[in-house]
Amino acid sequence: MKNIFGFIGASVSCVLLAVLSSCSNEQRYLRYALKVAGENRPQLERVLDHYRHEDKDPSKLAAAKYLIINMPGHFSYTDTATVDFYYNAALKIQQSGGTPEWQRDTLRSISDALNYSLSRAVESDIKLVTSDYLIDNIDKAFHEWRTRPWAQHLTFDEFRDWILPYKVIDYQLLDSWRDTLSARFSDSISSVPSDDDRRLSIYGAIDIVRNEIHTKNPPRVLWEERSGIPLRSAQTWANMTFGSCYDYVTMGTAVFRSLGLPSVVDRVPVWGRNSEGHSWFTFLSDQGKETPTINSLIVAAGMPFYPYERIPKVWRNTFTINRDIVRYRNTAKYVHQFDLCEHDVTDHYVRTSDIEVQLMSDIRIDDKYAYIAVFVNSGGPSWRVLDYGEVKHGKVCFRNMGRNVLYIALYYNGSVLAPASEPFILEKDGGVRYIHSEGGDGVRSIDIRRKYFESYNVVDMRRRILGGKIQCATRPDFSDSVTLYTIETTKIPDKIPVCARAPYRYWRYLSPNGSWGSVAEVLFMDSLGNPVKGCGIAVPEAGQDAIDRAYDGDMLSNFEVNQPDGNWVGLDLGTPGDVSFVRIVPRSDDNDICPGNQYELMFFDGLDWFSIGRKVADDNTLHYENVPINKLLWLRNYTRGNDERPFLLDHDGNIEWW
Amino acid sequence: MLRDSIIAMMALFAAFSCQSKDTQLETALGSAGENRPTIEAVLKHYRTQDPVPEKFEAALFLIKNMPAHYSYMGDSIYLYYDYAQRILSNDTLTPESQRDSLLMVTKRLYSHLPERTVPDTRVISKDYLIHNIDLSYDQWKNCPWASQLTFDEYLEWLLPYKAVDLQELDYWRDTLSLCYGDGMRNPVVNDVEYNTTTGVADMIRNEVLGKINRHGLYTESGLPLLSASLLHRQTFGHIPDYALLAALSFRSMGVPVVIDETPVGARDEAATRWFVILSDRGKEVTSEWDLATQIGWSFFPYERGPKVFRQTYAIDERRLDYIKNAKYVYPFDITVKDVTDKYFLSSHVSVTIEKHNRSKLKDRYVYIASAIRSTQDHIAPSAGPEPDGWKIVDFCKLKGSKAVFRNMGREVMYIVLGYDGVALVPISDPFILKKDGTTQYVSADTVFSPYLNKWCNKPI
Repeated sequence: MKNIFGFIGASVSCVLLAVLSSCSNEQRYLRYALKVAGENRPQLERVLDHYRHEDKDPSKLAAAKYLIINMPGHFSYTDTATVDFYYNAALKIQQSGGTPEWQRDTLRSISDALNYSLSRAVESDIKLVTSDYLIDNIDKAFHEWRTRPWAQHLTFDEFRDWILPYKVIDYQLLDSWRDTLSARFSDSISSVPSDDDRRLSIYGAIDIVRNEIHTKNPPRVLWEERSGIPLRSAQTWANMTFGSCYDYVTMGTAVFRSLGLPSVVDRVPVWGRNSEGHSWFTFLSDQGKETPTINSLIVAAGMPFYPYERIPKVWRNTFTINRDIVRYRNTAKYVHQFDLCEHDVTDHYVRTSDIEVQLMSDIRIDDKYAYIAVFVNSGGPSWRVLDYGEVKHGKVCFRNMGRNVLYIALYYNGSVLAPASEPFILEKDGGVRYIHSEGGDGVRSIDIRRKYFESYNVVDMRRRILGGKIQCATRPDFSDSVTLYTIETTKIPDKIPVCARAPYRYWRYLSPNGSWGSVAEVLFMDSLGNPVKGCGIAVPEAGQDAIDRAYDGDMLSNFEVNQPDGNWVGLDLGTPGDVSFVRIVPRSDDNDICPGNQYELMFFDGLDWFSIGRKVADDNTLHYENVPINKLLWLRNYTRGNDERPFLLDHDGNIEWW
Repeated sequence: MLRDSIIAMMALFAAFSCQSKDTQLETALGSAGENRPTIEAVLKHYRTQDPVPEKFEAALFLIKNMPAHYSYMGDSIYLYYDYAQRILSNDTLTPESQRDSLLMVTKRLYSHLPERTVPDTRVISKDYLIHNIDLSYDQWKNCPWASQLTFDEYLEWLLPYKAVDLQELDYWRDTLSLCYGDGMRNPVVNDVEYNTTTGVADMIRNEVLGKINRHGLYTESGLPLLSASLLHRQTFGHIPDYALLAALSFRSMGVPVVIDETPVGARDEAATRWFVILSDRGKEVTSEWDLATQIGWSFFPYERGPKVFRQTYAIDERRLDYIKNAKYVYPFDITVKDVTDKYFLSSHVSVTIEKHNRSKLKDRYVYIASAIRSTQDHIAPSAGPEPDGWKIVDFCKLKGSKAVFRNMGREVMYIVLGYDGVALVPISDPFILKKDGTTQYVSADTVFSPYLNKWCNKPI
C-alpha cells in the first residue's frame, strides 16, 4: 500500500513539475521578449493589457503571449524608403505585361543594387511590431477560426501553429495581408452554398481557393536562375506573376491563412539522391491529417507524395522558435546557419532513425557539435549540411534522420567543414553501413555508360530502340530497303558500323512498332566519322519540327510521332553516297556518356576526392581500369550538365547509385 | 455464420480463460484435437531442423492465434468450387449470369456451409504451415521491397497464411505469384522504381488489373471464391473481393499489405474495404478503390465514418476479454485492430447513462451504434440484433454511470445500447459527435429526420 501511494505521489509530482516547468519557461521567455523589445515594449504590453482587460478572451491572451514570446526570432527590413521603392517598382513590373523571365531579370537588377542596403537594415520584429498591428492580426485570425465552417473544429494549438502567425515568412512586410489576400481570392469560396458540406471542408475549400489563385495568377515557376529580393508583400502576392516553388507555396499559405485554412510550408533542403531540394505547402485535413501537396500550387491535393524520392530531412517553417537551435547557437564554437524558426518533421514523412556515428580516430573536434550532410553536386562533389549532433566519447548522435540515404558526418576544423566520419548509408531497416576508406576490397575494371541513376522512364524510353533497324534504299518510299543493322541491345556503340554493298541515296532509322518513333538523335557519318550532308526525311505524319529535333544535337529534344507504329526518320543524301557509321541516341535524360565530353572518375579516400583518370569520351562508354570496389566513386562531366551522383561498384561490376 | 461465430467465441473464451502467455500456446494446442501432433511438429521443426529464432517466433505467433481462424468443415465447399470453376470458365456467360448462377446454387445447395466451420488448428498441415513461414520469411529477408519491415510488421503484413477467414488452406502464394509475377520475372531494371515497395506493388497491381478484366458487381452473390485456383479466375466481384485479390497477390510476392475496413457503408460513395501497403519509407499507404486506383492517392477526403478496423491475424485481447466476461455476446470480429485515428478525426466519447437506463441493464458491457440510412435515406433495417437504423460498431464496460468509448469517428450520429436481458435497447439519447469533438444530443423523436441524414452512413 505504501508503495502504491509512493508511486502515485511520485507520478503526480512529475506531472506537476512538468506543468510548472512549462509555465515558468513561458514566463521566462515572455520576460525576455519584453526586455529585448527595448523601446517597443510599451506596444507589446499594451497588447497583453488589451486581452487582459478590454477584450477578455483567455485564448486571445494566450495567442498574444505566444506571438510575443516567439517574436524575437523573426525579422523585418527597417529601411522603409528602400523597401517601399522596391515594392512599388516590383508592382509596376508585375503589372507591365512583360514575360515572367523579363520581370525576374528586371527585378533582379533592381534588387542587386538595393540588396546591400536592405540587408544591413534589419531588425527583430520584437522591436517593430505595433500594438495595433498585432491586435488586428490576432482578432482577424480568431474571427476566421471561429466563424469559418472549415476551421471551427481546430484545436487552439492547431489554430496557433497553422493560422495565427502575423507573418508566414521572415522579411514579409507587416502589412494588411489578411485583408488583401482574402479579398482577392475569396470570390469562388463565397459563392458556395452554405449547405454544401464538401466544398466547405478544408479539403474542398483549399482546392477552390487554389483554383482561384491559379486562374487569377497563372503560375509561372522559375527556379533555374537567381531572382531578386523575394517579393513578400500583400500587393505583390496578390499580383504574383512568377516565382520559385518556395515563393508560390509561401504566397499560397498566406492566402489560405487569410481565409482560416490551416497551412504550413515544409521543405526538404535536398532530396536523398539529388542536389536540389523542394518546398511545398501542407494543410491539416478535415480528418486531422497533415496532407502534403506537390508541385507548388499547380496540382490539386491528393496525389502521392513523391513516392520514389529519398528523404533525409524535412523542416517545417514555424512561428515557434526552435529552442534547440537557440541552445546550439549559444554553445557552438562554429555556428552553422540553421534557421531559428524551423522544426524537424522528417518522421512525418519517412521512417527515421536516431543514429550514433563513429568519428574517425585521427581527428580532434574542438567543439560540442558535428554535422550530418549529404553529397551534392556543386561544381563537383560537395556536401550539404542538414543537421547537427552532439559529440560524446568519440561518437556523434544525429536525430530523426531519413533512411535509405548516403550521409557523412562533418566537423569544423578551424577553417572549413571536413569529414568527421566515413561516409555511411542509413539503410531502410535502420542499419548503418559504413563505406570504408581504408583497407580495400580490391579493384576491377568498369565500363561506365552514365553519370547519374536512371528511372523507369529512362530505361523504358531506351528500350524503345530495341528492334529498330538501320536501312538504306534507292527509292524514297524505301520499298527496296536493305536492312544493314538491327538493334538487339540497348548497349549499342556510339558509332554503329554499317556496310552497304553500294552507294545509296536514302538512309533511315526505322523505329520498332509500338515505340512512337522515339529517338533523341540520329546521325549518318562517313568513314572518317564526319556527318554526311543531306536533307532530313521522315514518315509523312512526323512533320518538319520532329525531323529537326532528330538532328539538332539536343539530347533532350526527341523525334516522336503521334502514332505507335510505322515510324522512321532518315536522310536524303541527294545522290547515292556512302555511309559508314550511324549514331542512334535513344530518348533519355541526357546523362548517358556523350562522345566529345570531358569526364573524370574520382574516388573518395575519406577526406577528399582523388582522380582515377580524366578523359574525353570517344564513344558512349568510358572504360577505366583499377577502379576500387566498394569505395565511393563519382564521375564528373566538365563539359556540361549538372546531374551527377556518387556510386559504389561491387565485385561483379554492378553500380549502386547513391 | 452468426451462430457459429458465437459458439466459436465461447470456445475461445474457454480456451483463453487463462491469460498467461505460457498457456496461450497450450490452449491453442489443446484446441487442435487430433491435429495437435502436426502443429507440435512445426514447432519442433523450427527448434531442431531449421533453428532460426525468428522463424520459431513466427510459428508461435501463428499457432497461438490460430484458434481464432476458421476453415470450411468437410469437402462440400470443393463441390461448390468445382461448380464455380466450370461457370467461370464458360465464356458464353456474362459476368452477371455467372454471378446469378453461383448465387442460385449457393442458395439451393450450399447456404449452410458458412455455419459449418472448423478451427484451423484442427485441419492445418505441417507442410503447409512450414511452407508458408519459410516462403514469407525468405521474402522478408531477401526482397528489397520488404527490408523496411520490423519483425512485428512482418508478422502481420506478410506472414499470415490467410488474409480472410474461410480462405482455403492452399498454396495461394505460389499460385498467385505465378499468375501475376510476369513483371517480377521480367522487370524493367532501373535505379529508381525497381525493387521498391511502391514500384513492385504498382507493377503487380497493373498486372492483376490487366489480366482479370475487373468487373464490379455490387449486389448479392454466391459464396466468396476463396481458393487460389479461383481467385485469379474471377470474372466479377465486389470491392472486398478485389481488395482481397490485391492483398494476396502482393503478399505472395513479398509486398507487405493489410486490409482495412469500415463496419458501416459509405456516406456518399466510398469503398468499405481496401488494402494498405507499407511503403519503403515505412509509411502506411492506402489504396482507394481496390485494384482500380493507384496506390497512395488521397483517401476519400469527404467521407466520414464511426470506425475503421484493420483485419489482423492476431487476436485482439480486449475483445477476447469481452467474450470471456460479457453476459450478452455481440458477434464482434476478434481479429481486428482499431485504426480509426489513422483515417478520421476521432475522439474518446464519455456518455453518462442515467440511472433509470442503468437499472434496465443485465450486463456491464454497453455498445455504441452509429446511425445508418438506406440508399434512399430511409431508416435502414438492422441486419443484426440492434434496433433498425443503427449498427453497433464498438463496446465498452460501464464504470459507474459513465460509458467511455474510445477513438470514435467524428461527424457521426451515435446512440448507446445496452442489454436488458432480452434485447439490445437504447440507453442514451442519440447524439452527434461533432467535428470539434463536442457532442450534441438529438431528440429520439427527430433522430430519423432527413436533415440528420448527413450524420449517417449507409449499411454494408
